[in-house]
Amino acid sequence: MTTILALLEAGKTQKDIAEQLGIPVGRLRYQLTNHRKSQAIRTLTPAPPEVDDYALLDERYELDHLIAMPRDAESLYVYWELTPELIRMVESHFGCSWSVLPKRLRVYDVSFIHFKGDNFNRYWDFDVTQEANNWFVNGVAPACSYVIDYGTIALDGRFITLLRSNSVQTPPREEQREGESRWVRMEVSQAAEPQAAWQPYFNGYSLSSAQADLD
Amino acid sequence: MAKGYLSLVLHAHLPFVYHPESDNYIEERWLFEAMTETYIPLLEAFDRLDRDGVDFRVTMSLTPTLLTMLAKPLLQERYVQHLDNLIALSAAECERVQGDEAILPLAERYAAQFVHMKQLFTQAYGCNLIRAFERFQAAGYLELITCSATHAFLPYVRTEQALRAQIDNAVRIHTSSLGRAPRGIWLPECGYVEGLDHILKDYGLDFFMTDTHHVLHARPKPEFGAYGPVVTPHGVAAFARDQETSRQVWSSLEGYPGDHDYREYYRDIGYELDESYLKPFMHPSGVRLNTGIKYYRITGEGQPKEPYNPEWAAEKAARHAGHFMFNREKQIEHLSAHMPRKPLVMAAYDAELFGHWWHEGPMWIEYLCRKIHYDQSTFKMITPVEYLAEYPENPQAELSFASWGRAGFGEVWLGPSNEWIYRHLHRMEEQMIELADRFPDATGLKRKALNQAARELMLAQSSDWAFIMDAGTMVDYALKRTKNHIVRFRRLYRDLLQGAADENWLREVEARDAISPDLDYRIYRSKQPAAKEGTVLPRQLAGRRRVLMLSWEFPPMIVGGLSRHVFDLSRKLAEQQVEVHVVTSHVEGYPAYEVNLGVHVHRIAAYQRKNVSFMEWVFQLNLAMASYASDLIANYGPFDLIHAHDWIVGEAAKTLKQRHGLPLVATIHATEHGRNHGLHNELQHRIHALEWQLTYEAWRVIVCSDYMRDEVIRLFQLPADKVDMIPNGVETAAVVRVEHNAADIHARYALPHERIVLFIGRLVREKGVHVLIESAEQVLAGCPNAKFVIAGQGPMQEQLRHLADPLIAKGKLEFVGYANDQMRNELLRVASAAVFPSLYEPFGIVALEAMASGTPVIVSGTGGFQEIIQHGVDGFTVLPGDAPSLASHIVKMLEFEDMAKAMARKASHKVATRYNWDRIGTLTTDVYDRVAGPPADALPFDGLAAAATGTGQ
Repeated sequence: MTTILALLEAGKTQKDIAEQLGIPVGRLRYQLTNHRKSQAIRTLTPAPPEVDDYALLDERYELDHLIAMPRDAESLYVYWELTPELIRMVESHFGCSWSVLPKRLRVYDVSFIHFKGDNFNRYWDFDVTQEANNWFVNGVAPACSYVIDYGTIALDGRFITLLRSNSVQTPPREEQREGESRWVRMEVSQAAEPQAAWQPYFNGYSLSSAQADLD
Repeated sequence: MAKGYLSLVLHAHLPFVYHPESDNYIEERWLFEAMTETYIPLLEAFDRLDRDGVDFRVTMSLTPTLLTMLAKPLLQERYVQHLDNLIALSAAECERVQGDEAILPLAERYAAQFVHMKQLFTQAYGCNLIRAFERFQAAGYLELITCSATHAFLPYVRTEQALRAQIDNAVRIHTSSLGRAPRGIWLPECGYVEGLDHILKDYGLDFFMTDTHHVLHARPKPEFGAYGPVVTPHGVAAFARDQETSRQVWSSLEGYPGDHDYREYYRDIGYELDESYLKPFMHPSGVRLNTGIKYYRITGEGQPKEPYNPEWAAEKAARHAGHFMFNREKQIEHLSAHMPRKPLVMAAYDAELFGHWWHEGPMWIEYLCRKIHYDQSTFKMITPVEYLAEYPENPQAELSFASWGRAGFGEVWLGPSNEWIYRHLHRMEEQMIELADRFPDATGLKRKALNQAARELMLAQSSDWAFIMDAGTMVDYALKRTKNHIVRFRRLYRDLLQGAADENWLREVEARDAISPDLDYRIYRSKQPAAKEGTVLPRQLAGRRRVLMLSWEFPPMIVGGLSRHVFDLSRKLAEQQVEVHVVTSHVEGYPAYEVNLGVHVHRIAAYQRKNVSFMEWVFQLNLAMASYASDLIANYGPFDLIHAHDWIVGEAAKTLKQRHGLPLVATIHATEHGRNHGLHNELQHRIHALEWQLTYEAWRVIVCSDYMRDEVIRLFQLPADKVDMIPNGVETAAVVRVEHNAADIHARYALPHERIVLFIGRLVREKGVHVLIESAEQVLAGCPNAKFVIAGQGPMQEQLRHLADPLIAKGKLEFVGYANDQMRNELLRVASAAVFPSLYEPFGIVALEAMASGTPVIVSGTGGFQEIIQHGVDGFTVLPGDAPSLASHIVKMLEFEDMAKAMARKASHKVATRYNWDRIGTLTTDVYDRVAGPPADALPFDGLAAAATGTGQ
């Protein structure tokens, strides 16, 4: 455990550490969780000179979610988390172990569409590795909107969604051809009068405490 | 008369590096080196320009983290020590290089310079550079603008609250440091994302700078390209930097800083001299570092480095300034010939480039300002605000996501080396909002902890850490800082929720991460408008029970009887002071959350609609329900129990029960086995297994009749004392309401002399409509003026029509289609008998409705019907599936009108006393009390008031 904490403090990710120590990431997380639980009992001890408990740096938040972010005009990034409970429901539905189910991302192009699950312009599938909890999706088109599903595959080959992302938009990569130019007038605030130092702290009755602390 | 303008913009920024706990952090030197090499030389240049009457304009962003550090007495003190060390080192150097004629003058120059710098810093600037910058702003030479509070890369901040916190605190720090609110902002890394302009405008920020491609790709394409501002949808001006000017200064190949006469950055004595000699002046760890003392010039490629010659370098700086100015003259002349107004060329750079990397940079800026002032009249220097004052009208354009980083978007801050931070940063934002909602007006220690949590979040958001991880140097420090702020936040979050705060620990963390002293965590609260949209739940009243109710259908979705039942039950419970949250399926056009008759209704969408089987649809609904309800419990909990209706929501109920340790109550409305008279295929077996699982997991199972009690005990092997029987009910008032007079209604369905025999219900086999049709001929034989009316729809409709063809032809039977509530009431009002010949009937609410409306009732003696109707007293029960038995009772009912009326009166009294929802509500809360104990008297934690403040009182 001390080794793990030291490596964490040195800035290694959980994945790196697991590789370095030759143990599965799952076991590493299990150990960290146990350590954290045992630490939680000891919170009443006086503040040590080292204020940081790196065992708190768990990569899991007990949430089922899939978050997508635009990376550039042609790529996206997604990260996700599935709780053990969700995994249990999946295993119970498919009647098999989570580890044997294929994992796949489905990227829907939903530009100019109010996406409701089955209406899209087109989609692509990417198989992802069993342990992956994030993915860079390359090769999408600029200036389009996307929604990404994380899911698995039924016996007959159909894709079954388990998590759905927010919608993201890729930026344009080229100059716009269309569009009518419109001009607007801006009222720019002129150089503001210099304020007294207390001004920001004046709350209408007296000065807020932060200013009092300064005095 | 000038033909155009040049705007010189310098972005001065360093991440917040402040370690009162130790003086061993070499990263603190980032600030000291920037002060020595960039900020003070720039201030000296401004000072000389001012004294010589040169009218210049520079726009400079001083980031909130930089301002905070410049004002820290500890860092000012350590900077003086840093200078003292340099003075000592340079004195030693003068000794060491005695006799080296080329180097000695340089060493002496450094020695004099450091002494001069210390004197300037401690005396002229009073140890605080901010005052000096402020002076040039007051004189009108400098336009000082802000940045986000901790230099967060704003496109990757997920929530509006966190974006606002970044801007709000930036403006706060800027205003309190410089005595005047900023009018513009340097977006960190020029990172922009749709909608950001709205927030900027709210804080009085009129302009920002961005990269060339950003404005060129705007929609519509701006008329003047990058040579004038565009205005975003919320009225903020965006100025694009000019590519040519940036290339001349930045480019490693053709840029000025690579000139052979300029000082070589990489020949620092810190890396060249003997370690034992350097040791007294260096970091205690012995690591080699830049000292800032460098004796060589860049020299030609492949040649040995030659000593630096300050005169040559100065002359080069002057020549390069002249070159830059000449190119701007040509550029502006060219542009102005093609534009109806004066073009603006914006040259924007990182301030630290000048001086720190390019030693002669500040000198170059000084020469440039002088030359523009004295040597030409083609263009003038200007600030963005001055330009907007001259040209207040500008083309409108929508900008999308972009930055000035490598490749122009987000890859620097979102790549394989740093992607891992975002799952933490985003979660911290959500948790910060949760904290602010839970503790809307905290005081004392709690308030301090909340404010510190906000600081930790903001510091973790600094784009510097992601940038360093991408760049690959000093990565350990960036990782450490990111993790420090994450774990400090997580500890604060945990402690706040547990009501345990460690004051000593907090004080230590406050001392280290000391930014934005008057930060107010309440900026993270969910907004008022959000409450109007119904995303914020009202206060849980003390002593009220909170129930999470799962039902796949809820009005306006009505497929089976479940919807109606859950609707009536939940609003009755709400009347009885139970806070009910129904989690149900999404209905197109209905809100995701609403409060309907005191019931909180949450509608959630399953993912796929097409191309999934029924069981896959159920599975996805359960996944979505479990995830949603889990969040609901975590954020707005605690709940006292879960109440699930039927197997469709069984998996979600089980998951929530196990995950949150809550009691589970299940109502079984019907069974798959009963519906189908056995289990005949795989699907039925599977549903049966899920029903079994739900009753197994449930602490108590509710059924609506003794018949159903026996059925669930038998089918699911339940212990008898785990099952509660609560009969269904009906709202009499809702059934008797009719708008038209009876004769008119009667005329719609039958001839005046005809007597209506009514069936209402789904047209499925188990309802036994075919038995009614089979009995019709016999009824007509005994009572020729009978008229059969069948209301409802369902899969057996065609089959039944076919069966009834001869009767329809004779005008003795009519299918009238689906009956809504109003039509149902009208039909019951005019019918002489209501007939429900079900083969399987767990309860039979439709019979209660008929009884409530005063219609004589005939039911088959099956399931729940037997318990409702007492044969010959308040209606007739007949043999299930037996047409002759049914026919003879219909005839009897039509024939003896007085008897029929008397039975109907008794039936109506029975419904009012035994099958009313008040009673059902009370019996249900008794079950709740049994599993969850009596409701708590006090709030479990004060946080729940959070939501209440959110809704506004």
